[in-house]
Amino acid sequence: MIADVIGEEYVSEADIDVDTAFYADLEIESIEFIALGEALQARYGDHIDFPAWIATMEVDDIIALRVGQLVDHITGSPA
Amino acid sequence: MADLEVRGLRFNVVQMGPGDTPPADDPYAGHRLPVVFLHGLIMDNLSSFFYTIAPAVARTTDAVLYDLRGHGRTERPLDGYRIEDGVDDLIGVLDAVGITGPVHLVANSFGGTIALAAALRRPDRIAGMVLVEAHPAFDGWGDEMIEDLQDLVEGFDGPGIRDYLAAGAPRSLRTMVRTCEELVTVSSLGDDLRASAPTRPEDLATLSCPSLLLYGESSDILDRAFVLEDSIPGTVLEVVDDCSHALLMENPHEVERLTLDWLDRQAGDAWRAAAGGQQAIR
Repeated sequence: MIADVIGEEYVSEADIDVDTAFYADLEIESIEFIALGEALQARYGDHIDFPAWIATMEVDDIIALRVGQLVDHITGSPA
Repeated sequence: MADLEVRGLRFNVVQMGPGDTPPADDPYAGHRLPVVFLHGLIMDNLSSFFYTIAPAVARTTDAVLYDLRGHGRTERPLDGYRIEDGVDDLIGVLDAVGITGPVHLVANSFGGTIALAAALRRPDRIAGMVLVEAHPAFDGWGDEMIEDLQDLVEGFDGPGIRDYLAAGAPRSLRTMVRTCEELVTVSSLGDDLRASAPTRPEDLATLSCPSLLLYGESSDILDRAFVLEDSIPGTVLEVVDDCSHALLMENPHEVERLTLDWLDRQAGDAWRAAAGGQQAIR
């Protein structure tokens, strides 16, 4: 899913694990991160509520987000 | 995000909000009009509202965010960048998402330019607006804006910059530079902004919808805010301390507080009007 959003050529250069940082490591752009969130919401259900999750964070927190934090949010959200 | 076809172009649109299930703690549920967010020019896109105030608005209110033509993930055609086209695009997006009634606009900078033009041309669709650092299209606005943008693009040819962009610059910076160059030097944006019909202060006197003006204390266009304050009937100007034209990013909390407050007041007025109407029927 990440490859769909930012392009295969960027993903293949990085090993993605829970500590991979979206902005620092994957160089994802703000608008692409939104697309990723929407794709995840479409895949896993509206209970994930990506905008509400983003609203709980300051811009600095969003920029520092790691893959693991997004995974935790998806798996931790009540279905 | 959905890609919606509007006027023959693919627009990137994000919708959020309570839909048919407003929060139980909202006293004005059922009296809130949808909110449409309009971002700024060239280096901006819907993410600037998505990451700041849109989710808070969307807790109680259905919201639409979209990338303006040429920006973000919306298609970038070579032409159609006049303010009038921006208004037509806005109405087209509303039609495409199925919103037929009036909406509130929350607009930043050039988004505000479009919002003002939309409120003047389509008062049937625009019920009110929050203008954050709006650039009213007063006479000469287009020339000034394009000169600034051309200076910016010429700056990319400064010593070492092209090499840096090719070799080691972050991806987002390369995208930003490419966006600037394509919009300013390749597309008809510059000519279109100059050719756009200007907004005159005397036209603004005909506006009847409520509005809120939010500007930074050290904004380089604060003088225009005062003209808007004098020209638009019933408008309120709030000047935020220690902020520049980048008000939305510099103090998103204050922009959120003032916007939510204004939206509550509009919903409260609608609620009271409805309650008064019901009493009259009795």
